Amino acid sequence: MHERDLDVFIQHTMNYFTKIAHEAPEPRPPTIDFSAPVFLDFTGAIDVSGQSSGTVYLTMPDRMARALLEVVGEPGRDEATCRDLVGEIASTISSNARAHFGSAFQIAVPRTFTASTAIEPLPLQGRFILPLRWRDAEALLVISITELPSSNHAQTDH
Amino acid sequence: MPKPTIKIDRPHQLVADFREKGRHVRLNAGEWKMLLELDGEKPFRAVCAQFAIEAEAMPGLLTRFKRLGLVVESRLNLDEFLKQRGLSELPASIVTAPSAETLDAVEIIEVVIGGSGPTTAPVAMNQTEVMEFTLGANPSAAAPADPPMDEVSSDGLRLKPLIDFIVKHAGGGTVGQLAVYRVFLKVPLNLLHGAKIRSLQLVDETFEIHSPPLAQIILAAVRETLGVEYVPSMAGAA
Repeated sequence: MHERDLDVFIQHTMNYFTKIAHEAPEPRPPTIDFSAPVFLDFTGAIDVSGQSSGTVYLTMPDRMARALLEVVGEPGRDEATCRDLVGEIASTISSNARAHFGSAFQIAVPRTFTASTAIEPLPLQGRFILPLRWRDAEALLVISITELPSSNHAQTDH
Repeated sequence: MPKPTIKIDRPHQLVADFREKGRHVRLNAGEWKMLLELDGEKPFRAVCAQFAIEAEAMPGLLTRFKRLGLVVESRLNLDEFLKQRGLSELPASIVTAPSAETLDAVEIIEVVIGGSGPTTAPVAMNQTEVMEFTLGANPSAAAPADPPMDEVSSDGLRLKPLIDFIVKHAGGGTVGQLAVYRVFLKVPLNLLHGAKIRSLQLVDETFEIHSPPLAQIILAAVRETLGVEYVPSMAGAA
């Protein structure tokens, strides 16, 4: 995936917050991490396959999930509801990504998990981690992909 | 010759390649538990006390762990310390004096105590030996200014100007930072770990790659990803 393709996931995540929470998160300086993956309390993960393969996931602390539920008017605040929330966010992002990429990449149905159940077979190469500060909490949008050699200059037609 | 001092009153933590080294070492379960309690903050003595180890046995135990190459004395810079706490920046409530030199470690510790860190996969990691450097400006910011012309010293490849070059060449902002990610996806993980690079994050203008093979691979990755040659002395012309 070209960097502009990867940016699609970031933009759709930002858009979700803007539309649903009426308040865009503040992107913090990103990192590229080469150690063990980090998962906060609730994670929605999107698997991507094709010329590049891997996972894009949004992981957030309990505090942020509950605050978002409040904003969207959801009365439930339990773990299952928080998990549903990150699933819905991931689903929205993946739908938009699917529409963007067409047949260039396969975007799987999102998966959700909690920190205690997170055992992810993520690629070991490295992860792009973008912290997103929203109100007083910070979520992480994580891009973890591997590229096939011929994808170096590949970019989807938009 | 002076005898090496075993500093059991100082905090220790696991070495960067602890996971790998641990595969080749056999310890009893209690020793593993104890090792995994080393967090870079608590003195070694305090961790021993948790496991009811007698004071006389502590130096020997620490010596043994060090000889096995499993632990090092903890030394964190501010950025590593914040990262350990799951923070990317100082809390907004912190007020610093105009001169950054006046902020000392004690003040920072007082601020971050009690902060909750992220949950990580159950892999013991050492973050004190992590070399971190910037990916450029805030994602929403414009491309960084031209780097100086003498990025490469006689014995190393400076990464900050290289990263700035990539970000700028790819258009700046988040897209530019993602280009840096794509470049480093092409660099073998073992070489990065060998250079003690576990994370690329913060400004460290003094950091240089001293491994010629790694420097060559990074430059080749830039060429392959961006289709341009990074010539360190000409980076400002990108």
